[in-house]
Amino acid sequence: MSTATITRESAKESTRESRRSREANEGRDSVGMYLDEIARTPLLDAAQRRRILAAPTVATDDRFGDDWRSLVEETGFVSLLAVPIEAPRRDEPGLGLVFFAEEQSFTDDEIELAHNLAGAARGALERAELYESERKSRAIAQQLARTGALLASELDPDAILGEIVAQAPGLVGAESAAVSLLEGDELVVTAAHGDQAQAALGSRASAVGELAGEIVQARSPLALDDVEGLLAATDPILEAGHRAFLGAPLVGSEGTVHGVLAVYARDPRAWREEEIEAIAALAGNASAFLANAELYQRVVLERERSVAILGNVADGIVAVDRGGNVVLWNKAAEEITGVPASEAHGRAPSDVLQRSLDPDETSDEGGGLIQIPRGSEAIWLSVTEAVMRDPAGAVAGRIYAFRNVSSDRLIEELKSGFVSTVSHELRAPLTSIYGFAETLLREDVSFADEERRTFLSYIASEAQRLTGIVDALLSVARLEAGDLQVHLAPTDLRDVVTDVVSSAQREVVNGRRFVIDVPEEPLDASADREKVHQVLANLVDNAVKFSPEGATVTVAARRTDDAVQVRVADEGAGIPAGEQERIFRKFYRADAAGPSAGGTGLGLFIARGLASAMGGRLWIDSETGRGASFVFELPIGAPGRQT
Amino acid sequence: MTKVLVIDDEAPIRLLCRVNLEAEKMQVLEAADGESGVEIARGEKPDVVLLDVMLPGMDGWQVAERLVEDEATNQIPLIFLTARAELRDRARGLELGGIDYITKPFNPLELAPVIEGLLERVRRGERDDLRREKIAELRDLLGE
Repeated sequence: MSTATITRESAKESTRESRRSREANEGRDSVGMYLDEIARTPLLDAAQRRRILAAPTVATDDRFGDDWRSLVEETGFVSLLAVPIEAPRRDEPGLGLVFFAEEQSFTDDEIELAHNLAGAARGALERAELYESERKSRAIAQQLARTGALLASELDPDAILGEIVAQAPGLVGAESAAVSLLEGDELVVTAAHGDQAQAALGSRASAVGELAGEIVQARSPLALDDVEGLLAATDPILEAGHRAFLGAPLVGSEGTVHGVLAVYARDPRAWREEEIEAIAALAGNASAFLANAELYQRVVLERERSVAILGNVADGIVAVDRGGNVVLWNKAAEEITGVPASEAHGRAPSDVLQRSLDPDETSDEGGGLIQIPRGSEAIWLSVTEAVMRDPAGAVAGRIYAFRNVSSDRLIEELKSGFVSTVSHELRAPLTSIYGFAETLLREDVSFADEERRTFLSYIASEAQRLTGIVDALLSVARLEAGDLQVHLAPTDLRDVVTDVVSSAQREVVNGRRFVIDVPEEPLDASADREKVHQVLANLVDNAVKFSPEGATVTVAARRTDDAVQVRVADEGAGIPAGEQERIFRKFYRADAAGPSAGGTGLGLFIARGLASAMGGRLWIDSETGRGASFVFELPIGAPGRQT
Repeated sequence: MTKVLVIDDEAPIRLLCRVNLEAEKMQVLEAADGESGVEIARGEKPDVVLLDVMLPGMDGWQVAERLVEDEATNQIPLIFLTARAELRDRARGLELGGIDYITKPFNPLELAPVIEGLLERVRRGERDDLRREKIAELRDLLGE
């Protein structure tokens, strides 16, 4: 009966090997232990010299120590033949040991045979080791691929780090792992798995310190088979009882290091080349996935920000893809067009709005103006357009920004209408002034005194009318420039009301009736008497203009808790609710007066401006068909108070 | 005696036309709005109508259309007399059949001679020529 074992020795690793063997071999048959421990001297010598050692009777062979000799005897072996074997992929020598139960005297043939056997063993070892290495590499590659696939779909940076530290130990047969990320000049444990993982989280270490710090500085992996006695205690996971350390840098796409992935093994161990490569690869993947996730987070953030901005800008923003279909329709676009985004998405704007947003298609309207229907009305949009291009320069879509300029256009129209209105308004009195002056200068006709007086009175009244128009234009200019001067003083509104009504009565010839309704006691307001007169005259003038012949115009003044109000009511057609704010706009002229009726459309605009300049208000209280009622309110004027 | 109908809502303008045209031995009829103007034109068959544009109710353009559409009045020469001085208003007046377009303010002494001159040419059968000339003048002004 015989048995064989192979051992190998490495001076460099002797301490570590021996410790591991001692711990690992407990309970195993004692030969292994003795091989390691006791037979060193003659066997090591044989191995190192690559020589065959033949011992026909070990028990009496004084090249071996006593222990070894008695051991061989105890186990029932008599002879030993040790044959040097070149260990595969290593320079260190090995020995093949053959024990014999019966004494052998080794002949040259037998030794030759042992040589051949050793050669065969070496081949087998080589194949076995190759196979093992191949199998491990494959397993690591598969594991890396699985991890990669898992992480590629993960977009949360924390989840990625968690997954990395969970996968890393299994990849190389370690127990724990941690990822530390660079923050300034410190490395912060951001994710950890295994012993003391929770305690390690958040711990900081210098980025120029040991272990992880060294990896950051060297930008390359670091493998330590046994850290015992090598390091100051700087790593909480190592402190938790780990002995072997393997770390690799997280290197970003620009080559910058932004952290370290480390795995820890409880027992000292040699890190195989492919394991180091695997951890380096995983760290590289981690960087890529983290960058990916951060990019994604940034894109998400950017997108949210864009959505928030687009949702809040006042301009309508519409984006179409290269097929011309709507991909974005912001809140303002919904409000301006009246079409909800859900209805617009995926359709062409020309479908949605009944016309394209491209201003070019309407040749007659320049300046990016287009008109679109909205409900029963048509609105004007000022549109600007931008082309989106993909990186290759091809058109990827278009963005339209637009605003509703209907009211701007309305003002433009009103303004140009105003110019011709003012021109007309000035020409009318001028015609009479100039005409009657020329008439009076006629030498071929002699007019009666009464006729001459009529002509002169027309010249006078039309000159006054002209002054009124010019004053109104000046008032508007001052109101708009904000430099209208008012001189406030306690003013009894009863007097002003009486004045205004009596002059209206003098002028009005077609039978309107006036009713004045004022209290007995004084009605002092803080006001500019002249301006109050102007406002009331305008209100009374309108009341007369818009009420039928024979109708009554009532002017009532009263005191409220903290103000004085004058109400001018007529018996005209009233003002529809939709018109009630518009009538106070500049250049507004009531349709009821007909397009040809006189007036600059400035009266109520000025009246309201004067009212607020005096700290008061002017509003309308009217129902269609029941006459219009304008209320002019002023603050109470304390007697003697001067503002 | 030349019979002139003045349609204008402003009393001083009507008076101005009346005294100056009567001084030239013309007969003057007055209307303060479009409706009564059309009625008077139909009933009185004036030789010429002086027509304002900015009238309450039916405006001058509508009055012109009515007079031109009606066989009873479509031969009466129309002269616009208005404060609307814009060229496009002038063009509209001529297109609606006006033989002239006088803008306010105007010299009332020149009113009668202008009317006489225009009516003389109309009498000579040059009414269409007259309008063509006026439209050509306008085209020059518009730079067309």
